[in-house]
Amino acid sequence: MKALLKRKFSLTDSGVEAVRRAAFASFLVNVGYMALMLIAMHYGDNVLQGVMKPAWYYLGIIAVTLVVLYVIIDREYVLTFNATYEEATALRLEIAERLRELPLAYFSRHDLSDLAQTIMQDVTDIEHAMSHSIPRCIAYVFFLIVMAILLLVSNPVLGLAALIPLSVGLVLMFLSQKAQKRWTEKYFWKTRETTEAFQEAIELQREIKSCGFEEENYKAVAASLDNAERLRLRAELTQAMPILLSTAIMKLSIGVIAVVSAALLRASAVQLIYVIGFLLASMRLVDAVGAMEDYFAEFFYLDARVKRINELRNTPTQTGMEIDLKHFDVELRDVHFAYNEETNVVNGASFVAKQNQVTAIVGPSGCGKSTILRLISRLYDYDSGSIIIDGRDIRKVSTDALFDKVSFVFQDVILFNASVLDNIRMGRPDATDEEVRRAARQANCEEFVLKLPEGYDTLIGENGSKLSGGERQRISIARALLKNAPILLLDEISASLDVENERKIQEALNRLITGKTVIIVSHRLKSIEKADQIVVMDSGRVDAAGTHEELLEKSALYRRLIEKSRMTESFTY
Amino acid sequence: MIYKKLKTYVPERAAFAGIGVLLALAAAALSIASYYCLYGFLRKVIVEADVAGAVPVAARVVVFLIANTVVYFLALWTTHMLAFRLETNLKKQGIRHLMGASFSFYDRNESGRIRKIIDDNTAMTHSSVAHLIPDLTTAVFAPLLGIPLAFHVDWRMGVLFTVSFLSGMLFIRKMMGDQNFMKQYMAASDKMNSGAVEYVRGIHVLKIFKTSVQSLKEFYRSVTEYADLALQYSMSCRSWYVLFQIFFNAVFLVTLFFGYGGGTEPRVHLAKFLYYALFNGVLYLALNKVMYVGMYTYQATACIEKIETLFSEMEEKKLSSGQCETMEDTSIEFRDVTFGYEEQKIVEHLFLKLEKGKTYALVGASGSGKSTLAKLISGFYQLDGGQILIGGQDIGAYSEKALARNIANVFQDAKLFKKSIYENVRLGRPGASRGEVMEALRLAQCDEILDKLERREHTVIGSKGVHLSGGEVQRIAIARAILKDAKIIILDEASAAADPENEHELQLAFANLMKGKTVIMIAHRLSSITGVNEILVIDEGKVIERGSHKQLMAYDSAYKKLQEEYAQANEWRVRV
Repeated sequence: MKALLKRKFSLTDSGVEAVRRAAFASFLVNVGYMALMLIAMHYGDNVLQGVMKPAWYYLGIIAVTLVVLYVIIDREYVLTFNATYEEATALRLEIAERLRELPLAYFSRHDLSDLAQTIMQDVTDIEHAMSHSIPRCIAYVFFLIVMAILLLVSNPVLGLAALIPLSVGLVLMFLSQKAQKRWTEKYFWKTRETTEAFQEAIELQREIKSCGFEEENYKAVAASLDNAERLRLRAELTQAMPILLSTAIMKLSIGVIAVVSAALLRASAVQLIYVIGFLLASMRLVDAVGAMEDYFAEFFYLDARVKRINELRNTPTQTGMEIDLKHFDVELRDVHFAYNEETNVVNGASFVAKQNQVTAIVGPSGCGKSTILRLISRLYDYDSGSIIIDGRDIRKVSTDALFDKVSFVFQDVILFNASVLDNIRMGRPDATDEEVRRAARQANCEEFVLKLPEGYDTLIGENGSKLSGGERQRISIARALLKNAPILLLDEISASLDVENERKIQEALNRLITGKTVIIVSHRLKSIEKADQIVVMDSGRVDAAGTHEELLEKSALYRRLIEKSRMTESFTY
Repeated sequence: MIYKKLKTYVPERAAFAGIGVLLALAAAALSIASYYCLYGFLRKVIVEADVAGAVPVAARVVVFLIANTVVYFLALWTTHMLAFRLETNLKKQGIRHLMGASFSFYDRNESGRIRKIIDDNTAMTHSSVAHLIPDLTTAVFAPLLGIPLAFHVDWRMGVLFTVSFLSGMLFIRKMMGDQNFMKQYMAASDKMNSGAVEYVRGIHVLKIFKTSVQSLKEFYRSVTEYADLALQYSMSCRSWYVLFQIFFNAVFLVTLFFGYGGGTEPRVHLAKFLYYALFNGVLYLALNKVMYVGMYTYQATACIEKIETLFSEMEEKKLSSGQCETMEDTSIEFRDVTFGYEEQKIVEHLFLKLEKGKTYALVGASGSGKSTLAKLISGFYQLDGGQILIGGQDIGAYSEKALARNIANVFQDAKLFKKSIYENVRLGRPGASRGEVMEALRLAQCDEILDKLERREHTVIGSKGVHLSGGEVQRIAIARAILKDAKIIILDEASAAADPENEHELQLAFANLMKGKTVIMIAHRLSSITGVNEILVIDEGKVIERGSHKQLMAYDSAYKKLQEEYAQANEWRVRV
């Protein structure tokens, strides 16, 4: 039961425990409501037998029942809600941590912003289900089973009359969920084009306008929307019908009991008080479902959400030993890698990047140079061959141990909506404020930081939106300076087009690379001319490696690249 | 009311709303009828002991229940048809508005976000409306129709039923808790979601720097605050919730004591009492629905508001276009122009004249306003003051078509339609012959791209296995612009950096596009503009210097300083 709950609703151990307790409380609530019906039945029995009990007798029973009921419902409420939000927070944080452990390959298969929002929304839905539908639905089913046994024992024929419509309804509800799932999947693919047409219309609006293409485009999108509407109506028909019928069929049990009991009474096969009892009991069961209609829908609807979260949990993370690496030569031996089955991006690359040296990787776009950096940092794991640091294949080194020694300055700067100080401090969380400031100064950040309204404590907006491109780049360099890791990977970072900023970034860079194993990917061939080693890549392979002078001798590709860049630079309009 | 507002979006199915209400009303009546028969059944078996007569009455209960289901289903169906059409229409309106929106709207809003707002909110509006109408009708009319029945059975029961119904409404208001809460809750949820997006987008950085969730304070706090808020809210409803549950499940027991008033025969009272015990659920269910209705109404209102805000943002700064269809003279003049995207002005009181047929290069630091200046010439921005004249006429005098036909923007992030390369280029001038299209492709240096592709110019963009680099996409877009043969060309040279080893091809393509046109170019590679007719140095939205390269280099100009810095940056080497 516990394992089932965990799997079915993707809960933690404490979450399962909480649901169990809440479901038990909810079961008691059901019993309590039925007790009210029992009082009614008791009264009926007395009247039919001609016994008149005084009013205070019933008053007493009712008062006691209500007090007990109050306590139970209150407990149920507190139990469900408290557990829910604790569980939801735990789940959100767990997912966030989990995401960070996953190899980047996982993310390239998913749309990033969708992923984030879906997950937060998924948890919100699970949270809502936990506080409403899960315990109540479980409790109801158990209660129904108990009641079914009692009803069947006391009168099998009436019992069946009450239970058949009820269970047919429940089964229909369950089946309709399956049908719905099938439809939704089918529908998803068919309407995907609508979404895409819509997105295209937004993204390409400038092009649409400048080609005077508005009317035609509107018609195409509108037609696609109309088509989607028809499809969805049909989908709704197949899924709404059974759900609606299910509750209606359950209600029928009252009518069926009336008909059957009339027949039984006629044959004197049943006592009147049983008829009353059955009517009251099944009305209670039916009303309970009526009030829970949406809960049941939610209960069944959770599947897809849970599946997504479970998929996340079950994606294997990268493993490896915790080793304190001491030597930082990076050696690639016949490395192969593909983002997807279609094409190999890295196709047998081999070279050595020495400690205290700058190794530059150059080559036409798509040659795999940026990918190499991602492989060295284990953001992706290569398919075959090996990358060796300190005598070990890095696939056998834990990412934690590796990340301690690697810094990566990305071409697309990523900043977070936090203070300047915190953004830089990410480089080394235990750094003092002074250390952070020193890194900022070295990266030429201080002059603009001090101009911000609250200096280092200024919140810099979503992805640093309040800063210019060059300023953002410098913060990311400060971050790497603070970390001061012995292996430094730089990806096309001198691509800024702002002359003044560029010089400051360059100065900061030169401070950053001192005394490390530096691997730099660059398309500005001139800037890396003096590197200790230049690796020329072509279609995932190393075409040639050596110093600038050596390459001019031996690599035709390098000569061609140099020639092209010369032509670009000397071009005038 | 929200509901009226929604109806204006679906005039063609406005009647469906009324039909939906009527059907739901009929369903409610049928449901009450089934209870009436149930009461009849109880009287027959308990009071009259007429067992034979009870059978047809019982059968009637079943019939009414079935009829209720059928009619309610039809009601739902009607409102679903309405809701689906509403969603479609809202989306169509969205596209309409999008096509008409000003460029400054797009500058401020990212396309993914726009789509999400429209998508999410139209979907929510849909689900609200689909359930709102039948649920609201049932929730209101089932108890209302129940009142006369209760009075018919026993006036005291009628009174009790009415009183419980009214107090139920009160309960619900109380149970909703603090009304402001929903807004706070939405805000907390939005904050958490945008934090999550940021988190996932930066995941590679978080990995490398081993940053835990806890140390991303803002995000971490938004997660915990959200939960706290939700819990607080739940707890604020606690006692009212419990009382509600007890009251409506137990209130029928009050009628038990009506039998003690004397005068009533015990069996007659028993039948009435049992009827009420069974009937009580109607009220409980109706009130449950009212709560959902409250939620749906809130959702629908919030969603329609969000959509309408978006629409009105699109309308803002929208331009009125004129009648003039031709543009002969392409000289450009800024006369006292003031402009800003938000409050802050980027350009203020600018005067500027550009002659036709010449090439102008705008240079300056990022944020100097050079891109803005170039964009204003496209005519798709509403000025805050002054006017821009083309060929001596106000830009607003030209029709939208004339502007689109005569001014070509080459954007930094060029995009292509999911059509063949050939069709993409031909969009530039739909009447162009095949020869002209191919010539444009050639001039834009695309031959080399076509050589790589099996189906050459018939290759469909975005189809499987077709990968074009940024620079290649850019060149195809230039072919389109060449074919369009607009008289004024605005281009941002930064696009050349998209694909460094093909930058030279792009330069050649640009050069072909510019031939014989009036060109305004935003220059980044300062070495390339030494030959243009005139260079304009922009700083803080002003033209601080203008002249040929030779003239500007002749003295200690800001331009000269920029050129020197550029050369210096270009000479930089990674130090070893």
